[in-house]
Amino acid sequence: MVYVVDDDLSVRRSTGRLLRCAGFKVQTFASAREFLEHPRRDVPACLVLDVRMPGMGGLELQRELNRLGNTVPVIFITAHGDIPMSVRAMKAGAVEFLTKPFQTAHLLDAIRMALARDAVAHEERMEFREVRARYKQLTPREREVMALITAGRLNKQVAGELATAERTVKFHRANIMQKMRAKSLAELVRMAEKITGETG
Amino acid sequence: MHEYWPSTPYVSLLLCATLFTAWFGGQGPGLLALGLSVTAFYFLFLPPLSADASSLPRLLCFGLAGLLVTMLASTQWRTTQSLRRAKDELSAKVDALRRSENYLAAAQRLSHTGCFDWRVATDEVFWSEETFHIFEYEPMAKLNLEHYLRRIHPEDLALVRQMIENARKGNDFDFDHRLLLPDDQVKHVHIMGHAEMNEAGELEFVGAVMDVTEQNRTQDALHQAQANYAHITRLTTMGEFAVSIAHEVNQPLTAVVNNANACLTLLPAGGPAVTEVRDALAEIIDDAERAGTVIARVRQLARKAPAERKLVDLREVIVEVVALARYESATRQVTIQTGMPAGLPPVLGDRVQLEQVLLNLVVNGLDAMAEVPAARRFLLIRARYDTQEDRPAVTIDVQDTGAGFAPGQLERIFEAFYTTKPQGLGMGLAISRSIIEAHGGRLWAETNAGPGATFSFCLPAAGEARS
Repeated sequence: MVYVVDDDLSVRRSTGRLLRCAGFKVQTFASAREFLEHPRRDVPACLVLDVRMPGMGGLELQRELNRLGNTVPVIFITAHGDIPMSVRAMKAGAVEFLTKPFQTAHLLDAIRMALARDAVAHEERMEFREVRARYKQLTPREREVMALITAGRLNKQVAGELATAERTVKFHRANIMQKMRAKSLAELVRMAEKITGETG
Repeated sequence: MHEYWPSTPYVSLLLCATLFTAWFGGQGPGLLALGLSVTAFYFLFLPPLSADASSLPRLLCFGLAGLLVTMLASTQWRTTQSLRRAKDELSAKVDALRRSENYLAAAQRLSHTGCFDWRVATDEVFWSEETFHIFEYEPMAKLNLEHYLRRIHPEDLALVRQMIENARKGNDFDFDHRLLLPDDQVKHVHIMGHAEMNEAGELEFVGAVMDVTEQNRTQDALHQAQANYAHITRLTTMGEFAVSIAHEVNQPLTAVVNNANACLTLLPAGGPAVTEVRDALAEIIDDAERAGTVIARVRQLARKAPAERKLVDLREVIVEVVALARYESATRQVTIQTGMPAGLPPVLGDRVQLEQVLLNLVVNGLDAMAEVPAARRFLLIRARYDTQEDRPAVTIDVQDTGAGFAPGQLERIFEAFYTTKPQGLGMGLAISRSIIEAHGGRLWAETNAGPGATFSFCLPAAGEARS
């Protein structure tokens, strides 16, 4: 999905048409506010963003998205670019900074790259969501056990710390591996990292 | 029979007494003294009339002599009196004259204006103290036109001689010229004279000479500053104008390229007609891109207008702009208040451009309050410490109590050619915004909670705060 945010009607309409013709799914918005308020499905996406708009400008929208934890890749287009502006945009994670009138090939290349980048990120996001959904199925006791074993403790040590039998720990451990659909301890550790990395 | 004193010496004494009284006391006291003298004469020196009829002629003689003396003496008294009065009046007048002469001299000194008098027939001149001072001569009694001519700047001598020849025909004069003084100092004077006929029927000029050196110098400096400012303003305005136009033109060009490309994509492969359309579309794209390149070049050219990058104290910018706007704000009866905290960090930029932006915002604010009653016209210019993208910055707010924005206006005010003023170009805010953005800052507008609007711009701070 390609989101186009530009206050200029003819640019917005024609960019939308061009991208649809090139085979992308496109949604257009006339302002940053409109984009932020519009509900979006989580699919691989990128944002084609005009720098200078009344109200919230493109750079501000980019900052706002970063603040919200939204990592959608941004391609800036501007009728009025200068070097400091593009440096700031690129530093804040923009994929490309194009000056109007841009060459269509450049825009299409940038969009393909951005979508590819977001596809990977999207994969990770989905995976994370999946892992977290599985984690939510664990009982509080299982979560305690999982924290300890992914921290590298042996069953015996876990039993000692939780004041329970080693056999019980083994039983929890089997349940955890099954509920989290982890094939190995290493995989479970990676999952744990994802969860704690995101929440902590 | 009563014995009478021999009268002759005493008669003289009585007349003397009468004379003195009238001399020093005037007519009234003189007549009184005469009455007393006649009475005394009659009782002391004459036999009673009833006894001797010959007393009468003697009494009458005495009386007449006394009256004569009295009249003469009192006339003398009156003359003395009127002389004294005249003297008093004269000295009062002299005092007043001296006072007004002092005033005149002081006024001449303060206004650097001297006066002169020129008798054309003899070329004699008379100068006031200040005239001597202006021409740098010691005051002297005998002066003529030559003294004046000796001080004229050689380059102006021809002009002055021509004016003098013209004046000799009885024409008033009023012109400027330069002096070259013995110490090589150059002075500018404004000189004017009015022709009149004196009592002897000769042509005479009365006039004034004013030292305008300082005045000219101030005016020159002011003109120079204004010219410089206008020049820089024109340069930056041209540059920013080009930038704004480029922005406006690039939008439709972008749409042209996009649409042509979309058509190319949609066009099915086909016969020669489709190939023609394809070529046409490709040319549309090429031409639009070429137009874009031209605009980019114009913009680069415009950018070459030298923009300085120096440390600028925004408080100085505010002070300067308030001074520039003083006349406008006074004429429009707007009270300008400023708030400038100490210790604001400087910003990096072009001082003149930043002043231009602030002046533009201030003038907009003044315009916005035209319809508001004078008592409620306030413009607040405030500098404050701020952050921009988590880095230190300085923001200046220009807050007015004017009409504020109509619905939908706020979104459009920064567009080029958008204006709410009958004589407006609609470029002020667009240019201001591109200047601020070129400085790495932001310019925006908000509606006030109370009446009016606030325009603000934020610039990244450069270096540490200075007190």
